[in-house]
Amino acid sequence: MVNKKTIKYSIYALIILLLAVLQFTPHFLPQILGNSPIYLLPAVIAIAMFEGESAGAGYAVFAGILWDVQTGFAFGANALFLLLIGVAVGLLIQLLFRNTVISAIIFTAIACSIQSLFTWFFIDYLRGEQNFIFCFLYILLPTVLYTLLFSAPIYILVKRINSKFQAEEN
Amino acid sequence: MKDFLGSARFKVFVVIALVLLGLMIRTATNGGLATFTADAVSVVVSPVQKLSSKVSGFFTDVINSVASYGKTKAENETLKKQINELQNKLVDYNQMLRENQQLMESYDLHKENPDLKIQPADIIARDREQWYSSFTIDKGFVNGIKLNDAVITPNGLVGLVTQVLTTSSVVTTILDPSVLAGILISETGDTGVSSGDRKLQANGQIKINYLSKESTVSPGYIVVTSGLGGFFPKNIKVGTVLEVAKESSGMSLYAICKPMVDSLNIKSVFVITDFNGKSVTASSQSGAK
Repeated sequence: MVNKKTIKYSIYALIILLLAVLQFTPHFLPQILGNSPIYLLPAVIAIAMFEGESAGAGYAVFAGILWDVQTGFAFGANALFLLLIGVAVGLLIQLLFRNTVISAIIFTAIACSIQSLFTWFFIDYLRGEQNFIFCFLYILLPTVLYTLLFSAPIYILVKRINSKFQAEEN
Repeated sequence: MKDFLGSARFKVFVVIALVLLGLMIRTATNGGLATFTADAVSVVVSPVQKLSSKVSGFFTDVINSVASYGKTKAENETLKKQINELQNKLVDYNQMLRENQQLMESYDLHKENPDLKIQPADIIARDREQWYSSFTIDKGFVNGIKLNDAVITPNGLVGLVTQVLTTSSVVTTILDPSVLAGILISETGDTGVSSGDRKLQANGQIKINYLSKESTVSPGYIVVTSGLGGFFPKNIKVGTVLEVAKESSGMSLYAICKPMVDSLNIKSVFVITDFNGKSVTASSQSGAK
């Protein structure tokens, strides 16, 4: 009989894979000012919140590598960023925060903002394009707000998967 | 927290982070050439991307047909008027055929550039956001695709290859601020450099810089590649001029241009793997910054 944990972790991996495909599927959802949501970020955060920093880090690297393959930027950058987010969120939930949907939304907002700021810094600022206000209003803000819409549903989905398997284990 | 910092798990995280950092630095210093890891992952991910591309094609067609009904109707009426005008001009056109030869040649890639070696490719994934304006195609190193190969459609220039993997490649479009192309204005012969611009990118427009301040370029003029720099073959259509203005320095003009190709909605492209005059070295005038 297959271990329940193996099934649970396989489901998480499938969710990450599905969200990665959606993230790079054109026109799956309408864009806001040319921006689409980053589905992988709330998924990694939710998994880290329920499964701890080790599982969070594992899924973060998996999601980050899938993300990196799609962008012609430095391979490993998103994987490294998500790894740090996964570990940090896993630890913060154990030490400081309560495991609620509000915490998930706060983590997603902070992580998404940092990701966008880093991208702006490396892609635009270092190239000499320093129009931060435009990037903030037309790229960073819409991306963060659009991503936040998916934070609660993804959190609830991961919570249900976690509760179902926890109940069965007990 | 102290327990965590001293734990074996923490050491594993640090090792993974260092490996990722190393991969990142290696890719960045490689100028877009894929690392083994990126290559291996892409080989696995490519079939999934192809499947998602087909699924998304269905959604795209449905959403586009509903969303663009009003726009299509208006475009249809405009096109009907244009056809009528063009029919009136057809008689004059035949007389002016010789004089318009140069312009005509830019519309016909094969007549003008018999040396082009072309590889057709399908788009299998797109970057999610505005930062890069790039997409992934289903052809890679094994198909003869090389870094900085120009990418076109029959309508005009799309961009250039910025990352080559074994069975797929990443194409960065001319909307991206990192892609520069040497251009000339077909009607006047003025040269300039096209580049993406963050503000124009959302509207699907590009900027033409360094046009001579004596230039007579006007809205409606056609922009083609100049061939300078060796990344793009000459006489590939780039776009049409929408407006012209003076740079704040007063030393030159710039133009806002609508690309011939709507790179957000195309499904397939041609990669030019070779042409006469192609350069393998980077140039300050063309290619990705």
